[in-house]
Amino acid sequence: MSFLQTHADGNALVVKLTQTRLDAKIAVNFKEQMTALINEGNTKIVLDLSGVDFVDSSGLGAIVTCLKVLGRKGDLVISGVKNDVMTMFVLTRMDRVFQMFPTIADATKVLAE
Amino acid sequence: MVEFQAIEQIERILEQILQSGIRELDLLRQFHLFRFGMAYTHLGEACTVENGTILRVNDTDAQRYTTLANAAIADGRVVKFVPASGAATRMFKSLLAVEDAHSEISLSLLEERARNNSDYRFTLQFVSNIRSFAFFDSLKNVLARDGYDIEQLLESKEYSLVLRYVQHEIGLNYANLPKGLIEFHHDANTPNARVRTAFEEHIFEALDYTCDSGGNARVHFTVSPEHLENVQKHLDTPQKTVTTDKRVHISLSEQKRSTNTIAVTPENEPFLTEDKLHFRPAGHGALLENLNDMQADIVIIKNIDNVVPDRIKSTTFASKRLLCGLLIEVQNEIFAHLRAMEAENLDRARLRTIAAFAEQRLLWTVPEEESQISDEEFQTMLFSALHRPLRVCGMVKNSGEPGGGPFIVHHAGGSRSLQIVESAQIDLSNAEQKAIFDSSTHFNPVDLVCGVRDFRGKPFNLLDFRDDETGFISLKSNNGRELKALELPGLWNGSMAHWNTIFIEVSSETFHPVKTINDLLKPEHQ
Repeated sequence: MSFLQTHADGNALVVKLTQTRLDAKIAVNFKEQMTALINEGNTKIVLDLSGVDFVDSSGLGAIVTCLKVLGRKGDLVISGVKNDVMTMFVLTRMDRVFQMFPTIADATKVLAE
Repeated sequence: MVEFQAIEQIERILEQILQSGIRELDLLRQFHLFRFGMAYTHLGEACTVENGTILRVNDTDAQRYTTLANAAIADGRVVKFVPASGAATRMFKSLLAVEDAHSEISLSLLEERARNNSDYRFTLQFVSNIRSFAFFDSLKNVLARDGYDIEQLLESKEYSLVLRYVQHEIGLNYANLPKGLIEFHHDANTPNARVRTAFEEHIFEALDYTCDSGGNARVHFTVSPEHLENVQKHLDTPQKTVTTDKRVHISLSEQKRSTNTIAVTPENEPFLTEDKLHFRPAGHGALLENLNDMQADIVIIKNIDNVVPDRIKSTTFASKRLLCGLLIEVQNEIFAHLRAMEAENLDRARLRTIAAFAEQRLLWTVPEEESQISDEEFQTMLFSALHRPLRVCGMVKNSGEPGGGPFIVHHAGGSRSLQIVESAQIDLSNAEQKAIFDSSTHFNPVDLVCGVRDFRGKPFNLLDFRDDETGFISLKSNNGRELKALELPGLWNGSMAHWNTIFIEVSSETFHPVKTINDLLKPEHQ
């Protein structure tokens, strides 16, 4: 089952997580689907978390793994995080590593530059 | 480009969260509390004997309660729970301060500084009366083991070595042990005359008021993980066998690491030590989980440092039976009402009788619009009001001791409840609230009897009856850096906020806490 909806926006791939929780239950699956998208050659990715209310450490770990898979050959940025998800990013220092944007448009604009 | 080191740090933190067992939802809630603060508890009135919220028991009632308690004890329903995780360091605060300031501590130094400094006064009192402490022989032995004669040391009037052997690992190590392991009393008049630690005194107490008709007494201690082995060894030694016809069943539990709370900087950013989050023990409120895990029936809660020698234990024994008997009497009535409501839909008149009981005994608030509520809704409300854990809390007349007190607390929506409230929960800048707090006639000596099973005999999940919003935020420091720490709602404060509560006046003779080592010099501990 796919948890991701994707569409191209300029040179970026926008990936929207369709679940409200990114937790241990779906983290492995999420990671595999994201890795497949990266392996297809997508190097500029906007992960849209606007529909996500809660993310646990497994979910956060899965996002970090995606960044590592992408490595230095591309960019993975985040858009639309809600307050609780943002708090988890702050708590784990992920806010210092990931570029985060209020909207998809803000994110794709930066990736296009 | 992403820095490799930064990703490594994130992975370490994520692993740390997983290993800690702390749920992410709890982390979020804690972070939220740091950022937005906690609402103050709103006091309505101090509980007093005069306004009927603290019961003063007469002789007839006392007899009835004692009979009820004795039956429950004989049936093996009662167990004692003693929070004993804390270290004794604070008991030695003054001695440690003096020791830190001087390499040599002579009598003349203590006498000279004692005039203007309470730490020196305290130390002078300690060394001047050192032979009166129950641990004197143990101290003499550890010194002798290393070739020192305590009499010679005391005669020389130079006390640095003595203080070191009392407090540190080289000797008794008392400043680092849990209070329970300190030798509190030496009672030459008891048949088994010997020195007793606080743990042992609690066991002897439990033998009286938790011992069933088969001779089995039950006591549970919470212990910090680093002392578990030591405590276990202490409690296992054969000399602790109490009498031939009674057995004490001692259980121990550790404060769960998953109840630790996160620390933040004064700016509410995560506080990091060695690139990791900083978690701290969350105070005695964390012990609610240990209490919950016991799945007990009636639990007597008492602090580790509040014990006396056998010769004056009888007042405590009688007092515990009052609390226990009162709990059983009220619990029986509650259970009868709950069974009736479970069996059928009661008519309005019957429901109003139950409501009157709940209002009078438990300070339940009858809704203003009661007449507009259907019988079914009213019954559901009453069922919910009664179907919760019950506690009877002994309260001692105020004598200037620090600590929380009994109050009527007002809640949003117009309801009120009886709560044990600490000063940190109150907005003391509000003159009205401060006046109410200051008007309290009684304080909380931590003398509780708790009924933690429901009318079907099933243990309540006590975590369902905690008010998560009543913790404390305090400023601490770690290696010279300021941090904000979060304590969970106190065990007898917010952790029991949604319980039914009854306050009862108990004699000050039941309250002899040992907060400093010199408290052991008071007559009741000699």
